[in-house]
Amino acid sequence: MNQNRYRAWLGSAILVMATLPAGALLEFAFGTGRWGWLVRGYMVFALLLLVVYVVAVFLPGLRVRQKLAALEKSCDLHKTGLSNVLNNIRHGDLVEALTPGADLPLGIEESVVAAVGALSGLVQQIQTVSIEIAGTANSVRDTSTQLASGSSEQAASVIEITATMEELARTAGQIATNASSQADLAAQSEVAGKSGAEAIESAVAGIESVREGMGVIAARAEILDSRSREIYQILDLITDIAQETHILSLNAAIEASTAGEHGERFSVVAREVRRLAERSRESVESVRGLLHEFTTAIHAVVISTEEGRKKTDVVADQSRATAAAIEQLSAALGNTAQAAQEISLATQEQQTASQEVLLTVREESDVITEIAEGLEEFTDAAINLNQNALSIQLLSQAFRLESSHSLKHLVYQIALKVGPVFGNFEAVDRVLQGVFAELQYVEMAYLVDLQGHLVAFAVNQDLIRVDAEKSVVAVGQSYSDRPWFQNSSRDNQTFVTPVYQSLLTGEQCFTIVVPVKHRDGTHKATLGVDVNVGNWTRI
Amino acid sequence: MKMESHANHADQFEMFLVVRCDSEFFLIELDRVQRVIDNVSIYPSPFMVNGMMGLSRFGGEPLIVLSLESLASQGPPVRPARMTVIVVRVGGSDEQQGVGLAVDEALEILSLEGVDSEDLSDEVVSAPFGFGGRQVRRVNLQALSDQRHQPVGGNQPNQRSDI
Repeated sequence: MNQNRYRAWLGSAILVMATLPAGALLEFAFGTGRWGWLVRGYMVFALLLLVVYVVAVFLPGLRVRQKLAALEKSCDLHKTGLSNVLNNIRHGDLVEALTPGADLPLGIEESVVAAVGALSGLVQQIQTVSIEIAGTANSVRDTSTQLASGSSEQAASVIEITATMEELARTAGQIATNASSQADLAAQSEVAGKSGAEAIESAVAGIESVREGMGVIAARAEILDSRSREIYQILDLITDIAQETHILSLNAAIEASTAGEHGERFSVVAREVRRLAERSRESVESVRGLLHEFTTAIHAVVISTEEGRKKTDVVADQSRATAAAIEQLSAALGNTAQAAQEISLATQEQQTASQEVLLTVREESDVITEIAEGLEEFTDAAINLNQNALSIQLLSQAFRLESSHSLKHLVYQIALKVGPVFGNFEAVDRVLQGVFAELQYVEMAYLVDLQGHLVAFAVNQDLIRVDAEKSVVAVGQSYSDRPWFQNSSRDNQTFVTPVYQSLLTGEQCFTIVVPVKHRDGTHKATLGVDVNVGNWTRI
Repeated sequence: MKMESHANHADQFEMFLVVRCDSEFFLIELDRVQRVIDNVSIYPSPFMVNGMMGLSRFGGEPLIVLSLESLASQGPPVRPARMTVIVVRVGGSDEQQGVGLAVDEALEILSLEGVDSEDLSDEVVSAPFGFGGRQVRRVNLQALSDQRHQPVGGNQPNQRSDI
């Protein structure tokens, strides 16, 4: 600018410096002669020319140069404002980009706001859609996984059904064979049952005959018992006679003894009579003993006969019942033979049907296997879709929007809470602990100073074990070599890392880094939030 | 003592009637036996003394019937199932009286050698002694006759009352 200003004055100076020496030379040559008017006229013309130059060239040029300088300054301001907007857009901060300030001309500002608004809406739509795609992909994956699992179980069930149907077909064949054999056996048993019934009828007739014979024996035994009682009476009479004879012989002997020698013969006779009476009594006792044995035997015969008759009654009743049962059994066996024949036919048909079902089930098994394989591919596709949606979501999270889906914005809000209380670590800790109440998918929130040292942190106890926290995280730990810290420190902007494996949970996570600023906008620290991908996409 | 079944030797042998009461056997002098009767009806008497079973009838005269088993055991009279009464004569030659001894059975008549009546004590029934493989007791009818003449001393078991 100063160079142009000097350049403007240089024209006037050259004009003056060229006019004045020319006038001096003309004055020297023609000052006093007839050519003096020429010199004077030249001088007037040079002055006029100088005035004209100043008025017509120099002064307008000066005003133009002043306008150009103002325009250049304005352009610089516009360029700076536009650069800020673009820089915010480059760092994805569409919220800041929506407030470009007064540096931009109104038309450009409106256009920039409209463009950023359109971009913001687009990104918001992308975030929303990607979330929906991820959720849908998750649902599809879960469904397809369940279907695949169900198909596998179904395939296994079909295999079992196949085995069962094979067994059923085989069993049906065996049943048909057995039923046929059973029908033959039942027919044979029916014939045997009829023969058995006839044999039992003959046996019943025989038993009736035996029973009648036993009745005759019992009647005769009763007669014998009556006769033996009569014999007892006779024996009693003989005993009485023998006793009387004995008494008589004793009295005779007494009388003989009183008769002295005259009674000796009589005494001998009396003694013989007494002996006869004694023998009679002994014989009677012997007969009585024999008769007792005889009557005992008769009583035993009577009792045995009675028992035998009762038993024959029982046997006859049982035989009749057996005959009736055999007749029923024979009839049942006839029915059984017919039923077994029908069963045989039915099971043969069942065997044929089972084989047909078996073929169908095998075909179904192949189809189910194909479905299971297709579902596995479908599951893989759903997983890929989910991953892609997640990638899109992560890419869209590079932009900060005024949206509940914008993690950058959410973390930015936390950074706004941390900024005023920075230095009061209890307040900072409360803010960090409060993160998990709203953002349950956050594994850890932490604050790193400008040198990259961890100054405060809070972990989500619902996601992380305490021992893992102690082994991985510690205050004073240096993060200065981490790319996210370097980027954040360099650009003083929010930053989203790619997905990596968390040391705390072993699961996938990514980190959102937001600079914590003072009220005057100076960078004081960096807030980091580790987001658990699984829980985040689930929510 | 030696026994024989002969009545020929009246000087050396004494003849006895062998009777049985329950499981005991008794010897009764045959000289004093008057009759053996069976199926005798015995009626109770209002003046019953020890050993007396009652009154019966023999030869148209009343007959006092004593239980031989009761006399031997000095217990109450026992009525056997089938009773046989031995009618014996008691008392001296001038005043003999028939008395019935109720027994279960009259078995036989036997001779007993060397019997001395003076050896007998004044007991009605002697102590048992061996004879023919069994224990027998002799009935002392003289003692029974002597006791019959003793005054009445009540109904004590060891006292004999006048019949």
